[in-house]
Order: sequence, then C-alpha cells, then structure tokens
Amino acid sequence: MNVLEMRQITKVYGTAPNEVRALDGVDFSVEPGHLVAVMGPSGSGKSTLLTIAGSLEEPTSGEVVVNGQPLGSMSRNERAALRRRTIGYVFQDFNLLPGLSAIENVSLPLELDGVGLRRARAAGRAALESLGLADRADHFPDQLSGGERQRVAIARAVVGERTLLLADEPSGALDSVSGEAVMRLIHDACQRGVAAVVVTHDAQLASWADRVVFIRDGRIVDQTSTSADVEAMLGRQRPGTPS
Amino acid sequence: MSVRHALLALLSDGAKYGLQLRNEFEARTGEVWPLNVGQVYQTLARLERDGLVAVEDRGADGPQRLYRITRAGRRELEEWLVTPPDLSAPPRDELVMKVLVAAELEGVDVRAMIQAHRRYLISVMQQWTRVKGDESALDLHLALAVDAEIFRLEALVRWLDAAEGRLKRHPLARRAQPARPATRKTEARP
Amino acid sequence: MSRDERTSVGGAVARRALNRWARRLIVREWRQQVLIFVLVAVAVGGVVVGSGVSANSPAPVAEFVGTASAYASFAGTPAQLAADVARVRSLDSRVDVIENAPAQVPGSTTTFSIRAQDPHGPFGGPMLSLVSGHYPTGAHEVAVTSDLASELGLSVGRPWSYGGYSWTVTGIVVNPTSLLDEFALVAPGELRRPASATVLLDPNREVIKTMGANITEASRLANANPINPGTITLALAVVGMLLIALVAVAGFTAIAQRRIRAMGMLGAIGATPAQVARVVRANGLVVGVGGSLVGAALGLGAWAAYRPSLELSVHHDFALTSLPWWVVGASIVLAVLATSLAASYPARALARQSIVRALAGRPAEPRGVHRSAVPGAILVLAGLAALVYAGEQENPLALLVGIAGLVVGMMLLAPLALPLLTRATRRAPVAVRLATRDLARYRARSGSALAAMSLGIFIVVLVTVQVAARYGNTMDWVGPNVASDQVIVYTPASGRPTPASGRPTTAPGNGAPPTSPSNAQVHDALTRIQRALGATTTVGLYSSGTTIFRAAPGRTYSGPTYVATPQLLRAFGVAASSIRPTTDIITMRPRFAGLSDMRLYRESYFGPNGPGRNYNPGRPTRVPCPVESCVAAPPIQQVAGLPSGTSAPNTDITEAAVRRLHLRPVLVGWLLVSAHDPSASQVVAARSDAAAASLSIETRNSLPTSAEVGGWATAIGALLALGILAMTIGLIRSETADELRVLEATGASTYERRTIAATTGAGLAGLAGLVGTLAAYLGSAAFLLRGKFDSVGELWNVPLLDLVLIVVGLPVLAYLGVWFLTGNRAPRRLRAAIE
Repeated sequence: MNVLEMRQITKVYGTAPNEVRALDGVDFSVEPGHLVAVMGPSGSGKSTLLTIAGSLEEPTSGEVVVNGQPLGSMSRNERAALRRRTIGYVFQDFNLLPGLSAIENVSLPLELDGVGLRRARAAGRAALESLGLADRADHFPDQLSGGERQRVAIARAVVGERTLLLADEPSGALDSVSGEAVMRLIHDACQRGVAAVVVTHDAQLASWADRVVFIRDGRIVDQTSTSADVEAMLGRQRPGTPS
Repeated sequence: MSVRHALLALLSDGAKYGLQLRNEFEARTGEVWPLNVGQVYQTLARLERDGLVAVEDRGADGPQRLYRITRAGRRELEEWLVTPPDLSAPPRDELVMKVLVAAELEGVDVRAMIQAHRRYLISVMQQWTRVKGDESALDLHLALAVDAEIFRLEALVRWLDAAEGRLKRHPLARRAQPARPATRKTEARP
Repeated sequence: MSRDERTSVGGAVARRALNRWARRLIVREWRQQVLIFVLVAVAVGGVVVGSGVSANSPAPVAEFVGTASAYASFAGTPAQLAADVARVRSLDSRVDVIENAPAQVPGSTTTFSIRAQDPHGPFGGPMLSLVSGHYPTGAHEVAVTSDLASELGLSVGRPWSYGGYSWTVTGIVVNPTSLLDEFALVAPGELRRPASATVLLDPNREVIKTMGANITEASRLANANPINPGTITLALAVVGMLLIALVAVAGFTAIAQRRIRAMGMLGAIGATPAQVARVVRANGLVVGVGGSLVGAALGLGAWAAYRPSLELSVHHDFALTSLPWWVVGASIVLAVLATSLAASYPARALARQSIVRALAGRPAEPRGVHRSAVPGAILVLAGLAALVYAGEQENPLALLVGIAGLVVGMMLLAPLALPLLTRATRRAPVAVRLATRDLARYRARSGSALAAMSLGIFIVVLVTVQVAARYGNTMDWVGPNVASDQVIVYTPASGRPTPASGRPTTAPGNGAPPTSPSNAQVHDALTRIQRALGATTTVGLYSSGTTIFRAAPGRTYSGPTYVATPQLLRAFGVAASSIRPTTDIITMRPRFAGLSDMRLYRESYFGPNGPGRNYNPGRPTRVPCPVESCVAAPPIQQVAGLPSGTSAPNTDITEAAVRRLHLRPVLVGWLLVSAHDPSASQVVAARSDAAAASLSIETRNSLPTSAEVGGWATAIGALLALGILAMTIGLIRSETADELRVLEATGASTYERRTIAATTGAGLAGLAGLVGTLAAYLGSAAFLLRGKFDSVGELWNVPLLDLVLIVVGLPVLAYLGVWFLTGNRAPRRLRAAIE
C-alpha cells in the first residue's frame, strides 16, 4: 500500500478572471521506504503539491489518501492529528520554535499528541541520537548552526512512528556539504522504511531520490525511470553501484 | 586526465614497480576513469624517454621494472599542478549543439527534447549519488571524483533549465512550440 | 491508550508543552509585553488606592452614632435638655449621652465645643480616643484636642481658666471619626450650661415612633449617599479596563503578528487550531494575572503609604484594611478578563488563518472594513440623551449610563475616521501617504490604538472641561481666604463672631454711627498686633453697605463690597488714574466684568439674610431693582493688582460710586500685610492682643485656588494622555519595524523612515485628540444643557491653552517623540519568531 496517494489533484487560487491553476490533475504516489524528489522551476506548483499532500491545504478537487485514510473526509483537528502522528515536515528555513531547546522541539509533536513527557523525551532523544545530535539536545535554536538546526528539524519530522516525511527545499539555506548531510539523513530515514517527498529545484538534491518527478505549470510532465534502465542507458556496470 | 602526470604523482613518494603503479592508478581513479593496462606502460616508456623517470632495473620485464622519478620529473609535476587547464575555448559540447539545432528546426518540440535530456542527466546523477550513498565505504579520491562529475552534470541540467526559460521568452522559439507542451508521462514504478 | 482517546485527553500533556513554550516566549519577548503589563499594574494599583480613597472619604456613619444604631439630638435651655434626656432614658435604659456647649478661642475666629461625654459609654467609643494623659474624672479636670491645645497654648498638667471654669488639663484627646472636631472634654455631668445634647441608642420600633423627628437612624445616614463609592470606583475601573483591553488588543495583535510563522510551524507539526490559539491566550492570561497581582501589591503599598495623609485630609481615622475588598477583587478579575479577551481576539484570528500563509509570514489580508456608522451613532445619541436627563434630574445612574454610551459609541466611530486621514493626505509626500494608508488598511491594530487614545483624551478633556466649568465659573470664587502674609483684623462692628461663613452674615448697623476707630483701646491693640505680626502695611477696610448680585439663570452671586480707598489702591500698587471715572466696581476676578445682569444693591434692601428673601431660582431676573436701592448693570472694571483672597478686598466699590450713591462706609477692620509669613507663635500673640480689645483675627486657611484645582486636573489629564501616547508609540514602533527595514533596504533615507513612523504617531494622536475632545464637549454640553446651576455657556470658560495643548500639542509631541525615537539605524529585526 502506498503511503501517499494523490489522485487527480487540482488546486485553483483566486477566482474566475484572475484564477491561477497551481495544480492541474496531478496523480502522484509514494510507496514505503522510497524517496521521491519533485523537481520544477519556481511557480510550477511543486510546493503546493507538498502542502496538499501534508494536509496543510485542501485541493480544489481530487483525492489525497495518506496511509489509506482519505484526507477529504477529515476535520481540521483530525488532519492536525495526522500531522502529529504520520506526517513530518521539513522546510527550507525557519524550522524550529525559538524558546524551545532541540530536544523540546523534537518531542513537541509527541507532547501535542498527549504522549507523556518522559516517553516523548526518550523518543526525541533517540531521534536526535540517530542524527548525531545527542550532545546538542539541550541547546536552543540560536545556539545551533544552520546545518544542525536542519538536522534537528529532520529529527522532529521523523520522531515517533512517522511514515511520511515531506521536505520543501530542505537544504536551500545551507552550503553544499551541509545540504548533502541533510539529504543523506532523509535518505537514511527512507532506508528505515519512511516514505519521503522532497520538493526542490536543485538537481543535486533530487539525485538522492529513488525517483525524480518533473512538474511544469501544475502538471507532472516526466519522471526518471528505474535505476536498471539507467544502467542500460549508460551501457556499463560501475563498481560500487547497487545492481 | 593526464595519465602522464598521474604516474609522476604516484612516483613522487618513492620508487615503484610497473605492476604496482598500474594497480595503484586503477585503485584511485579507475572507478571514474577506467584505463587499459597498455596505456600505463606506453606512458611510462614515454616518461623514461623524456627523462622524467628513471628505470632502476633495466633488464626486468615491464611489471617487474622499478621506476623512480627524476629531478626533471619532479619539476614537471610541480609545474603541472599549478598550471590551470586551458578552459578559455569552449568545448564542442554535443548537448549544446543538439539544443541549438533543435531551436532552429520547425516542428520540433524543444521542450520535450530538453526534458528528455534533463531526465537522462538526472538519471546519471542519481547513479553517481548512489555511489556516494554509503558513506562508510566511500574513499576520498572517489568522493572527490564523483562530486566533480555530479557538479558537471548539474551544470548541464542548469543550463537546460536556463535554455528552456530563454526559449520560452524568445519570440522565434515560441512559434516553434506546439500549442500544448507534450507531456511524457511514464508509469510510476511498481 | 488508544489514539482517539489521546486526542481528547492529549490535552493535559499538550497543554503543559504549549504553556511551557508560551512562558518562554513571554520571557524572550518581554519587551513587547512590558507595555501591557505596566498598564494593567498601574490600573489595578490605581483602583486599589482609588477605591480606598473613595470608600474612606465620606464621613463615616460612626461620626454621628458611634456604635449605636441611631441618635437623638436635642437643643434648648439646660432645663429642657435635662428633661429631653430624662425622657429618652425612660424609654431605653442603654443610652450614651453627649452634651455640648459652644465656645470660642479668645481673640480668634476659631470656635470649639465644651463637651461632656463618658469615655466608657456604651456607644460613643469610636468617637473618643486618648492621645496622651488621662480622661477627666472630676469637676476640675479637662482634656482638649491637640489643635485646641496649641491654639490656647495648653499642655497636660497645666491649669486653664475659661468661661468661669478653672480646670487642670489632664489629657489630649481626639475624635477619630472627625479630626476637625475641636473640643474640650469634661467628665459627664460637669458641663454647667449645655446648649445641645446627643443621645446614642439602639432603639426599638416603639421608641422610634415615640421620639419622632428627634431621632435619626444610622441606616438612613448610610443610604443618604445615592451611589455607593465602591460602585463609582468599580465603574471607573470598568472604563479603565476597557482602555487596557483596547491597548492590549493592539499589543497582542502585534505580538501575534510577529509570531505568525512560529504559529504556522506549530500548525504544520500537528497542533490543532485550538492549541495554536492557546499560546497567544496563555500569553494574555499570564500578563493579566502577573500585571494585576503586581499592581495590587504596589497599590496596597501605596495605600499604606498614603493612608496617614488621607486621614488628615478626610478628617477621620480608618484602618489599613478599610478597603472595599470586593472592588479590589473585582478589578483584578476585570484586568485578567480584559487582557485575556484582548489576547483571544488575535488568537482566534491566528488559529483561523491558513497554515501555508502563516508559514510564509504573510498576515491575512486586511479585511475590508465596511463597518456601519449606525450602531456607534445610535449609542452616541443615546448617551447624549441620557446625559441631558442626568443633568436635568441630577441622576447619577443616568450620568454613568450616558458616559458609557458616549464612550462605547465613540470607540465604535473613531476607526471610521481613519480613511479620512488617508484622504486628507492624498497629495502629501510618499512617506506620509504610506503611513496614513497603512493606518487605514490595518484597522485591527490602528483602530484599537486610536480608540484607546481617544478614550484617554476623552477623559482628559472631560475632566478639564468639567473642572473649568465648575471652578472657572467666576461666580464661584474658590480659593484661600487671604494670602499667607496677610491677616485681617475685624472690629466688633464687623459683625464677625464666627467667620466660618467667610462673609459677614449681617450688615453693620446701617445708619449707625461708625464704631469708634478712634477708640484708644482698639488703637493700642491694633498697634500691638501690628508689632506682633511684623506688619509692614496696614489698610483700613471700609464696608460700603452694598451687595453685588447677579440676576441671571445659572449660578448666582452676591457679596459685600469694600470701598476702594486710595490707601487700599496704593497698598496693592493700583494707580488711581487707571480706574475710569465712570467705573462703579473694580475687581480682580477674570471675566467678572463681562457678566450680564449684574446689579448693585444696598444691603438694607435685602435685609439680614442676603438676597435669598427675594430670590426665586426659577426666575432670577424677576428680582425687582428699585431705583432707590439698586443700580442695574453697574460699570465693572477688571483691575489685576487687587488681592485675590476670598476674604480680602478682591471686589471693591470705587469712591466715585460711593459718592454717587451717597453711601456711608463703615470701618470694619484692617488688612495687615507682613514682610514674612507670620509664625504660629506670632499669631497666638496677636490673637491674645486682639482678644483683649474684642477684636478678632482671620489668618490664611488651606483651600486650594481655582487655578490650582484646574492646573492639577490638566496635569493629571496630560499625564494620562502622555502615558497612553507613549504606549501607542511603542506599539507602532514595534509594529512598523519590519516595514521600516524593508524601506531602508529599498533606499529610504533616515528622514523618510522617521517621517513614516512620526506621521503614524501624529496621525493617531491628532485623530484621537479630535474625537476625544469632540466627545467630551458634546457630553459636557448635553449634561449642562438643562442643568440648574451651570449653563452651557460655562463651557467657553475652558482655558484655551489646555485644549490647544491636547488637540495640537499631543500630535506634535507624538511626531517629535517618534521622530527622535526612530533612530538613525533601522530597528532590530523583530520577526525572528522561528529559527
């Protein structure tokens, strides 16, 4: 079963004469353990795709199903609950709440969900540890570097039993080394079974994905095929590549 | 990649046998730039001829010969390291040629064509990225070489993006485009 | 626990997590909260002190009844009194009898009582307290109040002979329920000739019926006040909290705006809209609770510090805990409620808006406010109608209702004036245009700031106008009787046994021969008094036997006039040539000369009781003005040099008029001016000299002058307005910080940034000044429209300077204030609510 299933999604902003079609009949799905990149120039609708997938916005028409649950029939509070338990977000910048330490930021979704403080903290600590941030747990956002902040944000997005990770230009504000580290973390999360969607205009980030989807003017126009096809295209086997 | 200078570099930290040189050379860069064995011995012979390396054991067979860098060889290596490669003349890039030609031809869907190239370039980048994927198994030389390749490919992708945008805005190019961009939707992977 | 259960229960843990964050936010952004915090603290502190003052200012019921439930009062000859008291005793065995006889300090206008009261009586306990020594027990013992002791030069253990008594002073006593009560206490039964008696008792119905008119019940005394002072304080507290709520709405809107991205993030990680709103609400709650508790503590401290001086000024003692605690409690609740409500308004808006917009840091689009002016206009009209009624009927409830209607209506209407500002500045430079357009566009924040400032200015102007109408009325000349370096010595002919009324109650015997000023004894006494006081100037005061009277609706006036003798004019530096030959009356009172319907009567026409006999308040103009006794519209000239004291010759008849009217002036006393203010011992010495020659002395009392009262009102009002202005400017500054940064980035100079910020402040202050002043004037006019004592015309007495200060000065001050506060560098980035 796909973690995320979007069928015939259309999103229209504004009204008749000035309306903007951000998305136009998009079909999109992500299966567990897969990292999918959505590439497109600015204004192509890729961020809208992500906010609709994450239940932050509602499509004008079409259906979004997350873990088998259709979003259309959910109330605002049920969608909020879905974001606490199933969907994790990582944004380009401004990801952490100031005034909360790294560990508090990470365990916040769990606490919002009513998980006891001790358990929430333990889960938060585990998430931070897995991202190599155990020693930064009690630092506040303004005491962390940009890369560290983004790693904390990823820890928050995967804490608990999240199955869908949505990232919008997650390394946009970082240098390429930190950016690679962020993508590596998302990649690792997928190895553990999380499904991830990364929206970007950066080919390097996109190349971390198992599959790259190209979006133009609100439509999905293309996507890369399986790695096996590429092997065939390149016509030779390379050492170190998974066969 | 200059094989000549790569071999000089390998000899700069001590005399080595021909076989050893070949193996070390392959180990460092072979993943990115595969090289046949004959090329290595051919280059060593030229280096010896130019007085940049000296052979200790003249009687032995190629792989058993012990090679040593000469003073001239060391100077040559140092010179080479600080001399920038000549990038002033643009290479005749095939991809660029294709797009230039397509822009002039009537009835060609340039956007679709650019997308096909883009898809291919990104697929290749995905391959290289996968090489980097397992960080623990990644050695420095390989990582540097892979990075270089990824950045090169990315530059091409970005050029395609720019080209697409430029063509879109250009009146001549616009007429060549079909009313609706052809979409090439491939099936999602199972 | 299942997942669904967690959603509902999740609350407790989630609440804790959110409260933790809200707390941290408050700590991090305390600067933005300080404004509201201080406002709440000051308001609650003010209510604590204000309620204490208002509750303790009126004379306590105990002043009349002690601990009894009623008192019976009798006056008459000693024999009658004895009979009356005996009758009460026969009806009720448990009574407390207090007998009084009037007395006067020799040589002074000060009076006191000689009182016989049992210090251990069943009911009179609260009315008597021993300061030192012991209570008198025998026929030759007396205790006196401390003021009386110092006036008479007495102390414990000293002998004192007075009025045929010879006593030893055994103690100093005080009546805690009335500190003005000056008396000499003798043991019960030792007062030889009581003139009145008060009997304290707890009567049953029958006794009340039998006693009839003589008895007064304590419950009736308490009800005499139509509105409980606590209620008034609470009403003021409500208005104050309304003000706070308005400022707080603007403040919390600004705070919520700064946190918009953090709130979006919170929503994105799965906080429900209710949880998002909670963070801002918790903020309001914390500021409200913290501010009101700190305010209450400060208020109690201030109350404790102020209590001693308040006891002196309200003339009775009260306990430190004598506060209307329910008002204090209610004000704390109100403050918390006001801030919570103020916070929940932006909280709701924040929770409602799209997460995607919030994440982008984009506030919701300004709502097109097509608010109707109708509800506001209706409220204003209803309020004005209530005020007209209140003025006519003197109904305090209608007054409160009227003010409330006017205030709420004004606050509804005020924001509608913002687009006018935009229109007025259409052709102004871009910086000004930008500022006024933003004000009109973002009415959620500017509207409440404007309403708050309007309300503040409304209060200021209302106080100024009312004080001016009341005290600025030249009919009511309020102030000290004489200057501190002046003393008036009255002859016995002045008819001044008790100068408490401030004016002679009877005219000197008209046509009687002048009281012998040549009397050697009087002359000697005067010389001694002059010497005792160190007087440098002595001016004879001659009564002309005439009264000035105003026969017009509104406040009336009547008063005697002294003759402006050359000696008097010289003493006050008035050149005789400056007085026109046709002038009948010269006065130092402003506007007095311009009054209509003035008449100059011979006192004989009115008789001993002043103009009251012929005066009909409904038809004052019908008072006849027969030509032989009255001059209609006497020429009045203002002469600034005359003394201003109410007992001093501030309004005089010219000698020319005396001749024209064939008046015969009588020497009634002397005005003595000393080089230095006479000391208490000098006054005591002068008083004994005066007593020896049957003269009496009047020295300065402590009434404030009109100018002082008006000045205080304006000063307090200006402080209030400035406080609100400062807070509003603070708000605007933090509000516009981001825009200013963008402007700076696009190349706006410091000058332009300052212009924008300053125009915003000045625009708000200017509009608020206009709206507040207009409302205050309308309200005052409505109240005075049918009023009995002041007319609408009185409103013109408002000192123009005060109004100019408010309407013009405030915007100018706001402009300059913001201009200088907006420094050379753009303000620090404030929207870093997410990192």
